[in-house]
Amino acid sequence: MENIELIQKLSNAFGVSGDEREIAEILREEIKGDVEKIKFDAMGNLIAMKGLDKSGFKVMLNAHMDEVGLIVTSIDEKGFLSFKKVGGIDDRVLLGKRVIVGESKIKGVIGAKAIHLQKKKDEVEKTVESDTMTIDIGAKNKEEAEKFAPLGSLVAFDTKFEKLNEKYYIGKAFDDRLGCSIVANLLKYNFNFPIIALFSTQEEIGLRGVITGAYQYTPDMSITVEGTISADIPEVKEHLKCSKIGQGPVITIKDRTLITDHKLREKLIYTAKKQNIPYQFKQVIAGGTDSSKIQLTKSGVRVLTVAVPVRYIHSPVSLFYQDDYENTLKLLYEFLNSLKEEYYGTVN
Amino acid sequence: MADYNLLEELTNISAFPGEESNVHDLIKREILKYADKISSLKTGSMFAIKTGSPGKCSIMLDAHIDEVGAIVSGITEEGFLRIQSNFIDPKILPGSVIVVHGKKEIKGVIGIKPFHLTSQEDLKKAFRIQELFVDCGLNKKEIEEIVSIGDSITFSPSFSKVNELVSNKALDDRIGVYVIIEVFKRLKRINHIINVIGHFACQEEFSALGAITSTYVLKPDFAIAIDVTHASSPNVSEKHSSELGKGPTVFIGPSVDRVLNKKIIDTAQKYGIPFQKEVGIVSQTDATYIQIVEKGVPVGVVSVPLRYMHTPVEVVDPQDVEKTINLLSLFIQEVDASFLEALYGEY
Repeated sequence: MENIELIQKLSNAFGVSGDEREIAEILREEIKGDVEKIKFDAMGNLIAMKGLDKSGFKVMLNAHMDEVGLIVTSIDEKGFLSFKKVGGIDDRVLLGKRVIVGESKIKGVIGAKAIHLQKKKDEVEKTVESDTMTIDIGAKNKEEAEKFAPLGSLVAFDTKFEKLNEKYYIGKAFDDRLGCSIVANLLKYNFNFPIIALFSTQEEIGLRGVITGAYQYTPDMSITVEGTISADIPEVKEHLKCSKIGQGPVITIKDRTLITDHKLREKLIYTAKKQNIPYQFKQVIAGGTDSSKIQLTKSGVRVLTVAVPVRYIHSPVSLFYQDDYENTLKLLYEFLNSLKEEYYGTVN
Repeated sequence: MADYNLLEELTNISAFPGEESNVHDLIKREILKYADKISSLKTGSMFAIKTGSPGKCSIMLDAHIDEVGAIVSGITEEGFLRIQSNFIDPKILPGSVIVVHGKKEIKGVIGIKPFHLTSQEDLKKAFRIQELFVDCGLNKKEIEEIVSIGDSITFSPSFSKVNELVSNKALDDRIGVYVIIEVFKRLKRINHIINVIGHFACQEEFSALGAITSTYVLKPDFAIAIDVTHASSPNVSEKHSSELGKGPTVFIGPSVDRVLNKKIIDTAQKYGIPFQKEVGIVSQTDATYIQIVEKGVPVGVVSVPLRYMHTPVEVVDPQDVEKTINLLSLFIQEVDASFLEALYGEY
């Protein structure tokens, strides 16, 4: 599969909200030959531009670099780390998982009390809350732990990217490294309008990085590319699955934070139909993306949100289907390719 | 210095109870270098013997090959697998990668509904195993070509060094297997009057099939089970468990032999090997079953402290492992006529 090496690199890299430097470096290296200008701003956003000499409307392509994770909040006398969650994570996916901690990149595990030691019923059937869990980094005492993982160290899941079978891949942080990979790929092409790529930071802790990025480099229209919820799993009712693996790119009409631009969306759907690319609508009004902040910038921006459906996002291991990724990339390429200045005139 | 490559190889292989032969070739490859005889048994256990001089008595060192896992109990219309297990806390399963042992090995993930779609009320509910499922990225038809109901599932291997500690699935009890291999290595340089049987047991996690039947076949004069024991961690009090880094534990309680135990402890003290006492009633190891075969076998239990038992992230301290190897090798060296006389009343 095309792009797979980049996706693997991005998925395996460390980029919990607040420290997206590794991701930015991989992306900078990937796109530097394809763009005219690369900038970093105070929030750590990576902004790349191409086609600046072209006249007409500016198109932003946006994906966030950060992933959900944990942050070390205290260390006990024996060197075990307590933590808070960075971003939305279900406590119930944390027990017994491997993690990578801090700038030292030391490996650790989130300990789980052995089943043998749990008092029947009472304990076995009760959820363990994340604020009672600890990370074990094999430290002999508090001092050694502080050396490897000082307070405030960010913690990422230690999950290796893997091919599950012919067309399925598993790994962490597909939300939103798949978006990063798609945007990086689209920068390889030349379109007849200026493009601003905004690889944003701190999306998972309240759509934060994007605000300064979009303020400095405000486009006329913007597409946020995501890895989004797919809940096509047992016991979820048909209308609550949000999206389904294998049904193509997920187009957002409305989520918790925005309503996407009707005219642009119509054109996107027209493109999909014309090019015979499968697509689906996000079924549940859940989640929010950077596009909502871009939409609110200055006098307002026309925005779209398009995503690859991903199962088990915000957990140590998520799953995507190759065709969904490729179709999302293809739809966005065809859409951008079809944009003409005259068209922009008709919507503005 | 621990042999990390061997540790990694030993713990990465999967062996659900009943599938111990997966590990036989590796054990054979290693122990052939040091043993006089080696053989597999029909149960799935295997053993190696290093004869002593004059070799009138035999000690059996026992460690179990099998590891915890789950079995496939159903396949849904969409191709997801339903699972059952008696060994594993379902609370550790969501968000983990597993291996399904069908016609071939395939990987899968145990996923749950995304956080965004889960109600506050549901977030507080602990999962029961029957609510979970495995996603292998295959539809019903595709997965049925590979997987059948009853196939086993084990944690995906993920050998890691955590600072100076070692972590993987199945350290319970591949670490015991490793200890026996290393003891055999040392026996080449040790004069020992007894024969040493290394017994690699099947189905400890289930019925103790290997411990019971192999003891009947091999008829050791006494035995030591080498297993793992709970080490303290923030939710596990030191009052009821061992501590990592403080040496192997020696089980003290009704289910082990008093004379044998004293000799193990005397050896540790004589050579200054740190050890911890694990006090219990009936030990949850093969020794408990070995003890009551035929007319009875004197047994002891020496364990390596381990955190987070029966999870994919079990942790041990290689220094504890090293000390366990030292203790057992020196114990075998220390076994003399007067000890055997004390154990049996005659020799």
